[in-house]
Amino acid sequence: MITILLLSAMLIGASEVQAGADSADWSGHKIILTSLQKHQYYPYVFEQQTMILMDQHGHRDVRSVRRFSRLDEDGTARFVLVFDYPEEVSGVSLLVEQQPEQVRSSQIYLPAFGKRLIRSDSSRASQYFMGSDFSLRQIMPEKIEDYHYQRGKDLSIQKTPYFRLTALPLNALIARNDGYAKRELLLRQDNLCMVRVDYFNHRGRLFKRLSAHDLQQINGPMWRANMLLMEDFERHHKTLIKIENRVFSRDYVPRYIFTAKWLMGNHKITQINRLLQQGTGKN
Amino acid sequence: MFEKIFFVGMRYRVVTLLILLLITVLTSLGLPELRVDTGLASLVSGHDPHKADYDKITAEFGSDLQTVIYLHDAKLWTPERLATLESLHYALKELPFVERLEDVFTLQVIAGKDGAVAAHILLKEAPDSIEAAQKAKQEALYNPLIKGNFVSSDGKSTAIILSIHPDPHDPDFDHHAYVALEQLISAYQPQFDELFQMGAPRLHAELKTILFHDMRFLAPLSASVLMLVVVFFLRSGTAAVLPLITSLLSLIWTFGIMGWWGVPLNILSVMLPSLVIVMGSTESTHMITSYFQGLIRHNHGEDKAQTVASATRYMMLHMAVPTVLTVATTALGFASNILNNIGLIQDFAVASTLAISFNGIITLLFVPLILQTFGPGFDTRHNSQRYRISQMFTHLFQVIKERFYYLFLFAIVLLCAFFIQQASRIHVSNDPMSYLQPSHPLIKDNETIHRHLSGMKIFFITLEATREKAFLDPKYIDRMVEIQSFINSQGVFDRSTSLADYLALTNRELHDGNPEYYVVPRTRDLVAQYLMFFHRTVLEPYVSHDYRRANIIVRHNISDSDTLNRHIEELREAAQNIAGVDVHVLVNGENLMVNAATEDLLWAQIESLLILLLVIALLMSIMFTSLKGGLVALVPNLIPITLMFGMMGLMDISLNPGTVMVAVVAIGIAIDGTIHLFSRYNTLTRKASDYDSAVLHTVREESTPMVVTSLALALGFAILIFSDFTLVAQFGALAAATVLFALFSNLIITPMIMARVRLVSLHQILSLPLNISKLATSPLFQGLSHYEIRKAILIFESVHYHQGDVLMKRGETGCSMFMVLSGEVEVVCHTVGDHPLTNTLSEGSIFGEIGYTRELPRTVNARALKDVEVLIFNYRRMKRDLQFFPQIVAKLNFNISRILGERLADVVQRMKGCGKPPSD
Repeated sequence: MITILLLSAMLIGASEVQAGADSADWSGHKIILTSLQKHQYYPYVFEQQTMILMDQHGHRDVRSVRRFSRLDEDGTARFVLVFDYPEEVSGVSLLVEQQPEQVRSSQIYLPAFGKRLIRSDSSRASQYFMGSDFSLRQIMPEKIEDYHYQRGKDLSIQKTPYFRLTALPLNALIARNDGYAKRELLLRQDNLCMVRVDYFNHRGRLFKRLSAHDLQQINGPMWRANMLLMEDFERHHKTLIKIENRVFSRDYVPRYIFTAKWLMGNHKITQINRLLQQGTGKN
Repeated sequence: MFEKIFFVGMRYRVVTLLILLLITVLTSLGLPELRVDTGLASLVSGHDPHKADYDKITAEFGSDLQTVIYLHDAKLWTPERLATLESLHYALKELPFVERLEDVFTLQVIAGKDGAVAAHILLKEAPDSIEAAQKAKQEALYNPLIKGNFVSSDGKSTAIILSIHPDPHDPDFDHHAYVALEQLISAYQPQFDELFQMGAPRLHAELKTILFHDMRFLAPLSASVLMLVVVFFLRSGTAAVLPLITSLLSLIWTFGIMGWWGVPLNILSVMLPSLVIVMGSTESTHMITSYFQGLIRHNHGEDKAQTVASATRYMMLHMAVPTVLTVATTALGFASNILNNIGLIQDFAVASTLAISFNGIITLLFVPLILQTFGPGFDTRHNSQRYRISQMFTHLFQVIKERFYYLFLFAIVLLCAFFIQQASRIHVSNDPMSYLQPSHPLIKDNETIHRHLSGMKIFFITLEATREKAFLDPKYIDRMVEIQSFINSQGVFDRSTSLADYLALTNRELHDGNPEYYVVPRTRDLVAQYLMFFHRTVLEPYVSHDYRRANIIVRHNISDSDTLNRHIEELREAAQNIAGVDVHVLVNGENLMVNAATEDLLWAQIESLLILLLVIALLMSIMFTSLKGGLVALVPNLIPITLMFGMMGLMDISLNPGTVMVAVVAIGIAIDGTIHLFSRYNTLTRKASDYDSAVLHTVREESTPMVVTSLALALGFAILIFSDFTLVAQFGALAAATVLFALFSNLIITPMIMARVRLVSLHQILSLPLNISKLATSPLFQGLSHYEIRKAILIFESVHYHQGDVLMKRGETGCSMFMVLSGEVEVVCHTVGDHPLTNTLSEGSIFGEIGYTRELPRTVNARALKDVEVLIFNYRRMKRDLQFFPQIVAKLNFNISRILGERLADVVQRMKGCGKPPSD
């Protein structure tokens, strides 16, 4: 079984593949697979993000977050989110590990609670995390073999052609863990960049939408979005993640960062700023 | 001028009929525009100072108006039932007006065990095993924010709470929402032991259903009762049918105008058809009774047309002014409710004032029109009934007056004192649920919900701090905890929930569920970090995005405004004290504002009553040209109101939007009787030398129409007892009792007062058909203005003599002097031998003046040369009237003294010449 991990940030980052004339015959699975295969995959990514939570009245809560992610040779994906702002939550961290055998663990560190990690129930991946509109599932790597990708009728928006795929969980357990019944994916045909994901509940009702904005070509063939917007239509709430800085470098995501010791060290933003100033992999 | 107006219906029958029909057609075009309003907004005072804050708070923290889908099932926590519940959940979510839905499929739980914590939706979807279902049940019952609020303690009942967004373009939104919900849940009802909806759409829909049912049911019932009463007492089909026609026309006019003006029908409007039928009939009954009296007095034998015309004219002459006045006072009674700040009462005040006014206009135009055209030419009634009523009241009045006068007065004073004491127990209520009968299914369902879950009535305690992010600070959150403790200590509210509860719960779960940790965390950072476990929408009802404002949600099931207002006032004070000077506390909610409107109800009641009494006193003072008369006329009307308030206290009937109107409406009705009695008494005192007999005659003549109209009114009001609205039923019962109190007061107490006052009606003064200019030349009226002359003429007894009648006979003793008001009198004096001396006296001449000083044998004969109207003066009456009209009587006395003095001087002069005794 081939497992291809796709980090959520890479959801909208795909290799610059110009779908040829033969793409008309491509299946949904081939489109998504080609998109991923062509993707210039970077296993070590550091991002500095601004997370903006917007309620139905337009009120905004702004958070500054550092995100560290790496994919190790053994197939284990890890990422750490560290909140730097607001001051009251500075140092709050989330550590998630997903091993190839599907064993997933997530731990939370609350500096004000004391020097210990709190295990989070990892079986509930569909739950919202840290007050945002993203669920753990939506920021976690995804196994494409868990889904059946149906190709729908191609779409053209403002003269840009798109592939339209429907991703259906292969079984009820996957659907239950995901918290949705199906997704509709929209990929640009020119670069196979995924620009929109619609989430449908068990009643077939659209309840969430993830859209990618400010797409930017990086290091040649790869594209990345600098803004991700998750809209929850049921809760009338939105979360916008704006990538302020992105570094593709093993040095920025050393192994020790994904440990309890480092998290409880409560590293302040000033340290990373220094690193960033010295860094070379800025977008 | 008056005649021209009042006689329009008689003189221009076809034109009048066409105009009436035209107005009816025009106003009926407004009927499709008529809308029904059973919303809560109309129960909130427009002047409520909390309204602006309420709008701001609900915009920020969400609405306090929720609809609950309640379900109960012994096997609720099984995969099958939960799958059905999930299906219902999604079906409800699909409804376009459902803005937010909270139930076991949306509620967030947090649970900690062995160093791990799980914060998740209680049920993301229906479980597929009994174990999973039972686990969810345990989680629900473990969570103190869910247990009792969303799931009952035994786990067999749960609630789906919907926040509904009304469609502003749909005026009948509540009904449509109710029907849509009902249709949806009815498909699921067989699958649960119990399933129903409860909330504003249902309440409004039920109120509307009852409203239409009551209107369809009560109006025909009132009409039937009215017809029976009128036919029974007056033995006249015309008397029974006429008020129904006038009522129907009045209602079309009223509802049509309401449609054009945008004044909605509301739950009080249920009474309108019954009120118009019953109250409108009183004027018709008085008029028709007067018409029958006219038939007796102006019988032209075979000439039926002439008889009918005369009787109709008689009716209008005697009834037009009292009818206008009584309609005006009744309409005023209803109109005074416009001062009320509560939209429901204001709208009803407009509707009822229009209806009563229109009924008065239509009655004055239509009744003479119909009687002149189709009226019977002879009195068809069997008079024994009428006679018995008259006899009974006359006798009763006489017995009380002659034997038990002081005892009766003492008993009345004692009774009033007792009822005033009872009235102090009246409490005020404005809760919409209390409008329905306790046996109504909605009330039963509400009780069911309250037995298993917290009450569905909600209010907010909003704390606003001056500091930014204040409610991340445990010091501030502790104040909320203290306020919640105070709420618990009050013991009347079901439950309160705040940010503090979420924090305490999180703290407990992060300490492996140790109950000792069910407290607010002690640092600001920990508070902020705990809150990251919750999605912003979960916290939205409890804290503002900037943490400057926090909200405590309190649930309760109190329906008694008095209890609620008292505890809310106490809570407001305590909460502000606890919150401190740097936090502003608002206790707010629509149901609080609705209940708080009771204060407005009370003040509006007092204001309306005072204004009405003042206006009536003023009106009566003008009508009877005496301030004293105006005030005296109020006394018999205050007694029934006192008794009515006393009865409310005695029977524990609250002052609500229905009962609040009884007093003013009852005064408006009771004053009608007083006006009729005073008017009749005025007329009769002019024809009688003795006031007491005039009073007796008044009671005898007016008792029948008053009893008939009062009984018809009382029964008509009593019909409202059958209304499904408690407040309408209470209004009906109280109004019926008050009308009977007013009847008793008017027929027993008013005559007692009348006998001690002497009033002259302004209308009589202005319409006196005499040559006042000529009469003003009379020495008796020297120094009196034309107005005073007119009034003087009306004060004293006037007698009509036909041509040839003897006014005075020589040798007979008499104690009066006469003044010729109209016609000519021949006076024959036998003083010179046997040759009589004759003198012809015309308007303004006086004769028989010696009799005024002392009872002496008359020395002349006096005979009417034409039909003559003479005014009679005697010393005893003058002496008595001096206290009622001192200025006029004093002037008259002065003039009489001068006349007598001159006469004495003349006689002395003549005696010096011929030694003859003086003559009349």
